[in-house]
Amino acid sequence: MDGVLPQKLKWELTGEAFARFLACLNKDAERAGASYESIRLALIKFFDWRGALFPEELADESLNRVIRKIAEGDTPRDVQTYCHGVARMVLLESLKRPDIRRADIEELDQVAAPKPDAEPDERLARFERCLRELSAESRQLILQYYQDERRLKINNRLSLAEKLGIPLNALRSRAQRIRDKLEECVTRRLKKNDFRPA
Amino acid sequence: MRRYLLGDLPESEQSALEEQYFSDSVRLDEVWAVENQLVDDYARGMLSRKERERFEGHYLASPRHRERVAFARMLLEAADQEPADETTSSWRDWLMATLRGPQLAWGLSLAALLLVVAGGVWFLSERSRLQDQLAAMRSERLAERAATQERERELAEQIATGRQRNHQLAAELERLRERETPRPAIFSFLLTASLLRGGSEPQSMKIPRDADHVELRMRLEADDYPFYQAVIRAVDGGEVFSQRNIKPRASATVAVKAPATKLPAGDYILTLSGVNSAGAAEEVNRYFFRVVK
Repeated sequence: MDGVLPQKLKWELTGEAFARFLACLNKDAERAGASYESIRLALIKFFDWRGALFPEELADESLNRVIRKIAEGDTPRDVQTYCHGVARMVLLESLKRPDIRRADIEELDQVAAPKPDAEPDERLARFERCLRELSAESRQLILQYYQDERRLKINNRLSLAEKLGIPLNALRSRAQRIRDKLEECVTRRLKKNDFRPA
Repeated sequence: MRRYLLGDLPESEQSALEEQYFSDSVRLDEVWAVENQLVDDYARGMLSRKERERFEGHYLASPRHRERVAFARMLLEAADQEPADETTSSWRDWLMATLRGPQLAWGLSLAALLLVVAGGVWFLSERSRLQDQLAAMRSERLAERAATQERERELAEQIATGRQRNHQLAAELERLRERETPRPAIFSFLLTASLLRGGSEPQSMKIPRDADHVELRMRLEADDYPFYQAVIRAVDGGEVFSQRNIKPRASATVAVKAPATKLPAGDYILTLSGVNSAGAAEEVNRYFFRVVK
């Protein structure tokens, strides 16, 4: 999966093209930026949930293609839907290509990214280090959010949302982003083989 | 969403869900939360057999996802070791914590005992409360019944008194009516025919002042006629009274009843005639009498 993309699809992103893309998203620069982040996240999750090995890379490739189309004069009615369509094409292309890098990564998996039960102490050390790097508030929130099981967990989350004065949806969103940040930190340190204690 | 993440949805449904979360960041967060829940459930061994097989066959095919499960295990373990926030924990949290770990059997026993004791106390208290309530209701009903009976008794007495009073009033009314209604005063006098034929003084009668009517009775020598008629004339004048269709009495008498006002003081002749079956009148006798007042 996720092989090297064909040369003809390579395109150099320019500042002007990106600005034009943002203008398509929203006239307000700040809102356009937020919308861009939202689309990129959706693309990453799309490729991730579809089982791609390098979701970020494919997400950026999809965005590049959309930006390029807009720079060339296309004016999609709905940029989000357009991005989804382009992402599906990119996914299909990646599936058709020889799985060169998949083999590489599977091999790397044995070396640089040990299996979960291979070196649990090292993995745990990285996790604890990343956890300590979080702000005290974020650390407390995520640990309390994932505390307990089943019904008690729901009660716990309701209490937590009440304590923070935010709706349950907002709490869930905040916990997910902290979790994602923590997970990225652990993955990054695993790739760097960095398991120094904090 | 779980089926989407487990690769168990048809392409069209996958695409529909993706369009939703591309357009709506809240929807994206929802799918993401379901993914985390799915991973956590797997890490805690809480997936059904079918879901677990699907999860291992599809989701864990990605090395990135395997990393995610390893990460989830560490996160959940750290979260479970984190002491519960006192301000947010409840008695249920405490009970759950008590039931966790190696003391599960003791915890379950304690919980069961607590439940039995609490249930028993509740049952006794509820039973006592219901009994009190029932007794109060019975007492209220008895009081209501007694009040109703008393009221019925009073009403019956009132009705009886009323009836008695009605009888008294009716009797009183009857007495008053009897007192106020004057009985008709009839003055009766027996006439004899011989007086007239003998040429002597006419038989005299003094009619009382309060007499309304005067009944003049006459003996019949022979009861030969079914009906009789009588005509009273003043000696110095004309007819003052007459009566027809007089039936003879069983005692062989006939009676003529004339108003007292018709007979002022004076001399009178009464002519009695018999009426045969053909309707013809035949004089039977004449009676001469004097009225004095």
